[in-house]
Amino acid sequence: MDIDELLVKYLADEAGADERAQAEAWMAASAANKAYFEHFKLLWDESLKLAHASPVDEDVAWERFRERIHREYVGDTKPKRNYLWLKVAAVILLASAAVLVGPYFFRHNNEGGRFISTTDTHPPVRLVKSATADKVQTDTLPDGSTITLNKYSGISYPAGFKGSIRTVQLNGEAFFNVKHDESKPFVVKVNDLLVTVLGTSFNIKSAGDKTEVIVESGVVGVTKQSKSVMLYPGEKLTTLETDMALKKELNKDTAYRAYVYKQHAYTFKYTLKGKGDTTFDINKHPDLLKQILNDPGKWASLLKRYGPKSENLEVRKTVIRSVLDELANENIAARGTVNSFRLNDGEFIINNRRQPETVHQRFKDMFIKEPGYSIYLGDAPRNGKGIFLSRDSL
Amino acid sequence: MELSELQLISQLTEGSETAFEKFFKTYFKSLHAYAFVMLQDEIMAEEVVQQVFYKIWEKKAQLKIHTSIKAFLYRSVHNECLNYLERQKHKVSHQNFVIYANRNQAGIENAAMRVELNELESRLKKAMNELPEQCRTIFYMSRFDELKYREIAAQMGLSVKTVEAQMGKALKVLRKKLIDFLPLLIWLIFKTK
Repeated sequence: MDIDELLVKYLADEAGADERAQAEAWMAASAANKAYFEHFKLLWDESLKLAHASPVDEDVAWERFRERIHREYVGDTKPKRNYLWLKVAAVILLASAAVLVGPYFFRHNNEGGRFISTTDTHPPVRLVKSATADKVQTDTLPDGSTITLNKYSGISYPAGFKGSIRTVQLNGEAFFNVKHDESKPFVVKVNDLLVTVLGTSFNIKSAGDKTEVIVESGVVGVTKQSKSVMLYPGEKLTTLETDMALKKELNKDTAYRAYVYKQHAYTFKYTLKGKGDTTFDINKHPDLLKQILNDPGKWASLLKRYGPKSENLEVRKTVIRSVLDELANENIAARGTVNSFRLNDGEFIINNRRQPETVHQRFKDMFIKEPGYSIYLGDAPRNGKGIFLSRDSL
Repeated sequence: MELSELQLISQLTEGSETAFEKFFKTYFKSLHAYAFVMLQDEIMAEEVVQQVFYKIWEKKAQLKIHTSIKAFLYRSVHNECLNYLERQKHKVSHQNFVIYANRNQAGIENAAMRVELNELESRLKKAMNELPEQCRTIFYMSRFDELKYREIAAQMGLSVKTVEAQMGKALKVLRKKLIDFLPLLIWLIFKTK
């Protein structure tokens, strides 16, 4: 029998003795099987919580229905009934549902101490300590995860990850790119928080008793005392030690990318020098930087694919969009308001308006690779070195 | 289709209010629960179910049901809910804002966990609504009407084997849709105890 069918029969209490034994044997066969079943069980239990027995009495509902068919027969236009009593009932029901459901989460009291005890049951492992002064630095951990430490930050981790979790202690700010391992969560201890992931990328910044977590990709769990919240890409959580609640919000601040970009850019420039290529400055390719940031381990192949012949339509679109994004982020021009722009060594013109020199300089540094290069969005045909795109191809 | 169902349908088409009342009361509660799963709002769920019955009442003389009554009703409620949600789309952003604001106001210590729970539930609800029709109906009948496989098979006019297969498929598809999220959730809930 198909294993999915067997497991559901087991959950639904439809399995006979033989089938139960068969299902249990399958689960016991490996940790992966066990995890698979746990997923099924969670879905099975949760799906039931979505339903609730209808509190509406069918006789009362029938009366309402009968009233409706008779009313519509005689063409009565009486105003609609007031459902206030139903609303009150609904509120009471929701409140009691919360009371029922709450303990389900709260009994899973994941205190920091428990994490520590998990590692403490193993013989002491040598701790690696890494700290930065005025330079950003990238460390590779024993499991292949990479951590980009911002200036004046520190991290410590065991020389080898033993036990059932990978624990790391952070002070200051770092960008994490964690190797995926479902059987061994990666836990960052920072201030009074535990940040748990299975494999994803995110930034943590701590200063004093304030901690901020921003997710770049994947799912991140943040635990404080007995409370946990899950964050998704583009979400941010900021908390003080005195805060009792964990509140997340949409993140609008991507400033953290700057130190990570620069760090990786430095590495690449260096590597390319070794190959005799000194002209390629990765800082002038924000689209490539973004790709590399999302997957630093693959920088070499990303770079190769990007190549010198990079100005195909997709790349042009990406570069133009990066400029537009940057304009919006800097509050220079809101999204959708830019009909045309021209950016080169000499000038930066948006919708036929010349931009101040400070703005020009900043964008030139960011996007213009070399003298004579220009980036243009608009409908007049263009020639020359650079990136040109008409408004409707965007 | 069972004999009693055929009798019920023939009585309905004759237009007797007593027959309709029996029909209404037999199915109202489980349809209401079903609509609630999709809408998460009891009042709206009742309106939708009332509307489905009303449409049947209006057309009862031409009523043609080729599948089982239950499957037919589930499908009607499902479609009516989708129509309702479609109409509500433009109002949704406002409602979300209100919900969000209320949550913030509540400021209860447990708020964060409840948000998490809502998140799992809303993802699961969405995934369940996206299941193929037969699969979804069978899964709902099993979970919400708490029917045994053989009861579902009888009501749907299917073999027990088909019900087993559809139930297996339902969980498999749901797991696939939520897989980026389940393992970490399970860790947070169970393993850190």
